[in-house]
Amino acid sequence: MSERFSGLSMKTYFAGDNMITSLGFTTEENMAMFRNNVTGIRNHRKTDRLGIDCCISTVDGDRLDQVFSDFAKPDNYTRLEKIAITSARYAVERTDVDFKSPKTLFILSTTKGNIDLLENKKHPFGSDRIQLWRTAHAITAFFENPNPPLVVSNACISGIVALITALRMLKYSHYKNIVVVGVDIASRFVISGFQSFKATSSTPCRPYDKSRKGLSLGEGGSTLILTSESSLATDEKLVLRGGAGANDANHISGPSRTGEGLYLSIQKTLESTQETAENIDYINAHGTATVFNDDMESIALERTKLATVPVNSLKGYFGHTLGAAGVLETSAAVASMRMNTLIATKGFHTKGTTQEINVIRKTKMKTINHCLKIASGFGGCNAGILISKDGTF
Amino acid sequence: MEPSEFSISHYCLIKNRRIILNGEKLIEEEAHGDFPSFLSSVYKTFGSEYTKFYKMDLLSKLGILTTDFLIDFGSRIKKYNENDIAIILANSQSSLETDARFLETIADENKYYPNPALFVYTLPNVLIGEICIKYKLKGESVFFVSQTADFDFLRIYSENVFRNTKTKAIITGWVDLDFKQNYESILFLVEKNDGSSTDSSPWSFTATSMEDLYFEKNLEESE
Repeated sequence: MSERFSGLSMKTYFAGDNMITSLGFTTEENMAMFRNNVTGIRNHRKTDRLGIDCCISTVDGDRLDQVFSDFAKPDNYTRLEKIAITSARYAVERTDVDFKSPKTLFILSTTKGNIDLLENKKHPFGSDRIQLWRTAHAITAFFENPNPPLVVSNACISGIVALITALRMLKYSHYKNIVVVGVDIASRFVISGFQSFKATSSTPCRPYDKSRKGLSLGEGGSTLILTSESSLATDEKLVLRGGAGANDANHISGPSRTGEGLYLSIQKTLESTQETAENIDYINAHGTATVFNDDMESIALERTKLATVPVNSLKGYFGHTLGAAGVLETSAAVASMRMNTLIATKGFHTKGTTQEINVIRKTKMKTINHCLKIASGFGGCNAGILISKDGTF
Repeated sequence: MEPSEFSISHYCLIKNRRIILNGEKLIEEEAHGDFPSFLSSVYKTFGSEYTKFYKMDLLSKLGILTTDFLIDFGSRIKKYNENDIAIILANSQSSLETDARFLETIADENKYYPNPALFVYTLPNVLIGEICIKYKLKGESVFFVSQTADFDFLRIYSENVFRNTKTKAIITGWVDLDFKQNYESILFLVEKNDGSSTDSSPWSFTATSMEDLYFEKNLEESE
């Protein structure tokens, strides 16, 4: 049996997007909040829903149930599934992509899925609902998609790995559209874990700032619909050109001091797309606001000759959303490219990374033809992707 | 049929207290002791000195031991550059066995002591990180979660990685462990055929061939 696919000549277009965070339920709502310099990161008390003192960004649960009840009974789905389904639903509404088609594949990007069910023994969802594949099935069943969904679980780079997976599957399979849904919820499980690492900040995080003291966790969901059909692409055609990953092979919980894996990921992303560092207009970086992560990124950017390129981290607006982060931040990057707008890095005031990098301080207009998105995570994993406007390469 | 570009050069299966390496029984333990003691016993009998082993969670220990045998403690992949070996793993239970252990450290308000050394293992891809650290591998990697082992997907995705990147060899397979410590692990070393000897490898890189090795159909005839 010989398999004939469109392969390297094919382009992968963005067909639709959505962002659900503490700041809003659409990409436009979120972008408006970024422009107005608003953060959704708040203090939560032990007596609140989550039962733990923390400073994080959460999705408005009442609004979620309210909008969700327009499509289905909120009681039949977990909080995580409601965020994922609402996000995918909002994304597809504005496209002609057929979610029910055998040529449409779903990829779920998440680190912990329905982890809240592990703690709450009295939940009504059945014992297998804790499984990531089961969650993915609940989402595809909602949309009546006939294909077994893929689940990518690669710590904080899950979303970028899911997008790279989508790109490769579009090139060498019969799929024409891939719906990448990234989602993770705030849970006592994850918050206590990050707090035990002493990695969290008691005030909203300050990426790349001299006085940064750690990350702010966030809850969110995001959808990016990718297609190989040019006619389904959004009006201003954006292309996911390539991506690559690399492991530090150094430490499971600490970033490499030389930025090795991230350096290799960026090099391979540029090489595979035959793009050069000087053509990159904007970098949407990971910027968790831990001392080590941000220093490591600055070293990798310096090593790849990208230290002068405008760079931001969006985590000061909606926190670190873990398995959703790569998809959420890429959705924002795509919106920034369409609006030709560089979004300020909220929380950044004073330079304070090992290598000097060009952190965006004020939101401003600039033509963005080529955007690099990068991420790094536990397990020593790193990845990058390159997005360009069609016709500029 | 066209000759395949890739083939399985080695595989290692660990299940039911047995380790099968390339179709041969390497070890079979009597059914006493639990899963953690089985892993420790295998490590002590066959393992190279690697103190990090003791810090790992059970899923990582299982995956590391399977990898050790698969690549003969590194000798089988020496010919490759560290950037040219990809790792593509999957399982059904993600890291739930460790998740439940971590939850125990935060469940009781009076004994609240979340352990960071445990928390880091509540991500399945940390197993990939452990393999990369032990063998200094820096290539592409991904961890998928599916209800059952989907070898056809792993084959398709591995071929995509071979075609889209400079990857020369891939460690792929299924490493799974549930709440009750039911476990199974099978890893394949997939390499590009160099063209000179198409019949040198005993296993074609197909879903059928991977399933046969996973269900031990290749061993039934000889026993």
